[in-house]
Amino acid sequence: MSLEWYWAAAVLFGISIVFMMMGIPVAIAFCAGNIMGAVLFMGGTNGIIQTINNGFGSMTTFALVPIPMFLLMGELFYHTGLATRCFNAADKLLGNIPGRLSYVTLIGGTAFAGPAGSSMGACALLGSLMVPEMAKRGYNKYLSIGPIMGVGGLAVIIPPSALTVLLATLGQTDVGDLLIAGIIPGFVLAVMYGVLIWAWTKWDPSAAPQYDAPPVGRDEKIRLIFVDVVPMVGVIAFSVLIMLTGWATPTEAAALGALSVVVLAACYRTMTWAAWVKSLEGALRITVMSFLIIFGSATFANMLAFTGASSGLMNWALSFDLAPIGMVLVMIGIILFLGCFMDQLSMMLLTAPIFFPLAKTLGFDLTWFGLIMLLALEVGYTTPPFGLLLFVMKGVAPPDTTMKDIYLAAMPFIACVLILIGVIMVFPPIATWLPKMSH
Amino acid sequence: MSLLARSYDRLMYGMAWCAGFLMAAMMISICVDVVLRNLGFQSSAHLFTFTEYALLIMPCLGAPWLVRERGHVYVEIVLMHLSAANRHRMGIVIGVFCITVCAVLAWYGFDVTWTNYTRRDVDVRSMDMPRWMIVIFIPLSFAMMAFEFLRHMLRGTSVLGDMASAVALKPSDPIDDVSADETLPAPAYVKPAPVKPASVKPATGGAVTSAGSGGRSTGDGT
Repeated sequence: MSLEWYWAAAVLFGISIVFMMMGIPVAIAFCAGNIMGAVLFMGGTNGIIQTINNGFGSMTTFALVPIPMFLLMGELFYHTGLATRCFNAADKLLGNIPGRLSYVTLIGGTAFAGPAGSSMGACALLGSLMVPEMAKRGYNKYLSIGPIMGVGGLAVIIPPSALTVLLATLGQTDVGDLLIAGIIPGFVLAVMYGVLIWAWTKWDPSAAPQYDAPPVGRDEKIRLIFVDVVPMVGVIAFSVLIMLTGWATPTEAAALGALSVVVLAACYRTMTWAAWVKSLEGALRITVMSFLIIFGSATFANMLAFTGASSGLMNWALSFDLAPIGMVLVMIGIILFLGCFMDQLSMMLLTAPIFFPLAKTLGFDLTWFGLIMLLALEVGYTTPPFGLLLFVMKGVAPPDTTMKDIYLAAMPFIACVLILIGVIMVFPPIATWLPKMSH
Repeated sequence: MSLLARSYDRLMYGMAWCAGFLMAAMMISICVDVVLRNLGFQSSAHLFTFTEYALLIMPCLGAPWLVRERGHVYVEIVLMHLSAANRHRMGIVIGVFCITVCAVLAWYGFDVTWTNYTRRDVDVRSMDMPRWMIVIFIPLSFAMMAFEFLRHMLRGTSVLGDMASAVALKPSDPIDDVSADETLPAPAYVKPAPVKPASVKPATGGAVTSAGSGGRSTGDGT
């Protein structure tokens, strides 16, 4: 069946999006979209057979191994209570600095959300844990809710992050490079958030009233640092460093990272059977969903290519004669728009097969582009009026929090991520220097 | 009949356990490989192949369990604006749709498996693996997923997990499901704070995208 490329593109994207909007589970919606597309464009039922064969090929790809491993690492951190130890230690160590709970949220959130790269779970958890406490301490709503919304941006780019692995795989770019590329921008973003909170508390001290946190002695502080912080941060740093130095591949780094969390938890005597089962269960949940989506991804990309939809869309996009950077801005705009309706996996699947080739045609470094896309995916999640994370926050925040409060709280942190995207665009080495050095 | 049902349940949970086991095995085997390599031993290429196959088999074994647990992420934006009656109707449409999709993939999956079997196709990696032995997990998984969706419908339970928007829209209602938080010892300073149940909902999804019960993170994230 031959169609103009725009019809093919409309059908291919349209079917999946309509199914998803109906409330059909995302993974099934994609499978259905692929089946229909395959029947239409790939010769009837042969298309379905092709879909299954493609699925077999794309799922048995070694580069995907870090996804379950990073997820397992994150779940282990969480269920063995190691993340909580870190969180509590950060809380005690920060002493009486203004806005301490906001900093604790940032640090804790990054510890919780890091490996999974999942901002939704972290947002729900921190929202229920920290917001009531901050409200009790008289923090204003913006300074209590804002950092929680900002955490996702950090979690998604600082390795280890399963989401990064998936994006690199879908965009057919180097997994290790994209993971490593997030390190420097991640730190820059953390500093920006820190400065933001600092400036806020300077400008309006009443936003985060000082209170007497329980005093912690020097010996206790030293103990906390060496017992509750260094080992946890060490494990993450270890898995990043072995990858950075080229001693291990991302796959090996992920597996070693997960194992070292097991060993660490065993040292703390928290590696119980229940924690182990819960961790496997949690990791399996996301793995199953991610892989069901990956199952259809090759066919989806194939069909886009086969029907001329990818090249058509690309030529059409190029025909506007926008400056390459303008093009990147348009792509970011599309992701921000999609972030109102979709989760990050779905956004990636829909956009990566078009965006990465387009970026390549425009002559961009794909690692650089991937990082910008990751950040955009996260911002899309928190952009008013419909970003998904805003609703998660609304769900867990105290009842008197209005949507407007949440919008306003998210704004400064969104601005930080957007500024970071701008900085990476203007000054690409911030993202590309470290991966190049590691080669 | 109950024996049949019990056997089926054992099979389904057994598969999920196997999936978990594969994940653990994957972690350990890769680590062992790294150690052996650094001790100067040649690492086995079969390990590589085993891991690749495990990547397919693991989600296939776990998928029916995820349907049983109603753990799939779905977009809620339209559903949350429907009346309860219409949402119920929509739930039935979605259920039938899911069953159909899974059944179609199961049917053609068996077709592919059978073709691979009769043609004696091999998947050439580090060793020649009869392809059907791996491919068969795809139709098996989809067939059982279809059955699980059907089971939810026959029992009158929604195929979808609870909507997180229920919390967003009615924040004062108590929420029973605090399972995910039970594992998390709250920071010392939170303990005395009266945390209302509604604010402890471990939303595995947002108001717009939601997944059922348990779990900390969603498929944004995988």
